[in-house]
Amino acid sequence: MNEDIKKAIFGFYEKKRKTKTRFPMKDIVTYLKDFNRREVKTTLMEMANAGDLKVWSSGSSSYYMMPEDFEKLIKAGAEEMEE
Amino acid sequence: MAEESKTPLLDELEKGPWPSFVTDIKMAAKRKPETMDLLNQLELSYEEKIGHWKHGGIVGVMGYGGGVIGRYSDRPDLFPGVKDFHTLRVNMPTGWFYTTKALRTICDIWDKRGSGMTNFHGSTGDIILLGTDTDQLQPLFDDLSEAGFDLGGSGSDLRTPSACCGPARCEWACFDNLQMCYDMTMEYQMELHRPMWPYKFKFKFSGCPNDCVAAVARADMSFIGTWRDDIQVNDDEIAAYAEGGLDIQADVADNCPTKCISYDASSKKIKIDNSNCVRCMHCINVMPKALKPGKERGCTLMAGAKAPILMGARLSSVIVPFVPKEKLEPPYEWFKDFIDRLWEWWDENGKFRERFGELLDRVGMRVFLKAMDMEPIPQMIEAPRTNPFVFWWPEDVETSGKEAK
Repeated sequence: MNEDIKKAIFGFYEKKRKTKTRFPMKDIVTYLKDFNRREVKTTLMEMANAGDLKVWSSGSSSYYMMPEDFEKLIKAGAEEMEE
Repeated sequence: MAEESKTPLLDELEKGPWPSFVTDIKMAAKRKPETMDLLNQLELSYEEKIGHWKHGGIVGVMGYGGGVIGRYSDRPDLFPGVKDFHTLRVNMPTGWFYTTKALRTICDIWDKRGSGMTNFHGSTGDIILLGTDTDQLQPLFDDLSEAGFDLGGSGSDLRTPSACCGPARCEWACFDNLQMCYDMTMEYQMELHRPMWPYKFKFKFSGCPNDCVAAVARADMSFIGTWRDDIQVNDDEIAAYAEGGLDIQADVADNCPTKCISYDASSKKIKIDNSNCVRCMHCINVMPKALKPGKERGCTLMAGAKAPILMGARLSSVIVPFVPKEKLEPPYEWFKDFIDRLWEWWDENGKFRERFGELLDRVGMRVFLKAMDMEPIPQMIEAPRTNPFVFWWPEDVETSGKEAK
C-alpha cells in the first residue's frame, strides 16, 4: 500500500467530513490530483479491504466512508442518498 | 373459527385464475414464519401508500465491495421478521446452464441461510437471493463459495456479464459468445467485485442478431453475432415451405424491412439482395430449415446502451462493425486492450453516476473515437435499432392467415 497516498486520503476525510461523510471514488481521486489516478484507486481499494475505509452502496452506486461514520449510518438505518 | 387475515388488501391479489406472489410468500412462510412479515409490511404500505424499506449500507462480504444490497425495514418494531432483509446477487453460470444438482445445492444453501425466496434471475442475469440477516451474509457466502459459486456485481462496478445459450444450443450462433462471456467474467474479477468507476458497466454477449440477451438495449458494451457474406439459402427447403402452406410473399418477403427479398411463386425460389440486408433475422426465424446466417461469421461490437432513468432509453451504437470469428477466440488481447482504454477514458471524463452511453451523448462520439485513436467510418451507425419498443396498429399486422404445416 502506498503510505503517502493513504495519508493523503485520511487528510481528505479530515477536511471533508465536516459537511458529508460519503464520497464516491471520483471525488477522492479528483481531490488527490497530484497523485497517479490508478495508484489512488488501488490504495482506496486496499484500504477498503484492510478495513481502513468502508464501502457503502445502495446497490446502484458506491461510496467510501470512514469506518466510524459507516457504523453510525448503519445503526441509524440511513436511507439511500444519491447526490 | 378461522383467524382473521392480517392482510385483507393483499388477499385480494390471490383472487383470479393467475399465480400470485401473495400465495407464494404465504407458502414460504409455512417453513419460514418470519417471511410473513414481508406481507404484513406490504399491507401497511398499501394502507398508508408509502414504502417501508430502507436500503443501502452493507455491500458485500470480506474483501468484496459489492454483491450484496442492504435492505432494512423502517418499522422493525412491527415487523421483526424483516428487520434485515438483504439481497445477495450470485453470478450465474454462463448461458444460464444448470445441472439439477447445482440448482438443488443453491436452494439448500439458501433455505438454510435465508428466506428461501429467489429471483431466477434478476434483470442483469444474476441469481437473486432475497432476504437474509446481516449475520448470515458471511456464512452464506462461505457456503456458496464451497459449492463453486461467487457473488455478482453491484454498485459502481462491472456487473455480471451475461450471454445467450450460444453455440451450446443454437444453430444461429455466429461466434462462441459463451466462451467470451466466461473469459471476460474471469479476467475482470477485480472490476466485478470492487467498485472503481463513475457508475455501473455491463457486458452482454448475443450469438446472433436476434440478440436474445438484449445486448443492444441494456449493455454498455454489446457483442452481437453477425455475418458478412450472403445468407445461405436452401432452394429445396424454400419450396417445401411453400408447398407446406407458408405464404412466403406475405410472411417473409413483404416483412423484410429493407425489401431486399424477392419471391417467385412459380419457381418457389427467393432472391436476396444481401447488400441491403440489415440482419433483422426475420426471414431466417420464419424459415429456419431454408435459410441460415452466412458462413463468414463474427460479431458487431457496440457500445452505450442503458435503460431509462436519465434521459430515457439509449440503444448501443456501432463501434466496430465486424470482428471476424477468428479474433473472437481466447485470449482476446485486442479486446482487453480496447476495453482498458475505454474504461480509463470513461473514468476520467464521466461524471458521478454517468453511464458510458450518457457520456458519449454529452461529449459526442467523435471525442470518444479520437480518444481511442479510431477513425470514424460510415458503418459506425449511431442507432441500428431506434426504439426498444415497437407498437403495431392491428391493421398493420394482418397476415394471409396461412401457416406453414
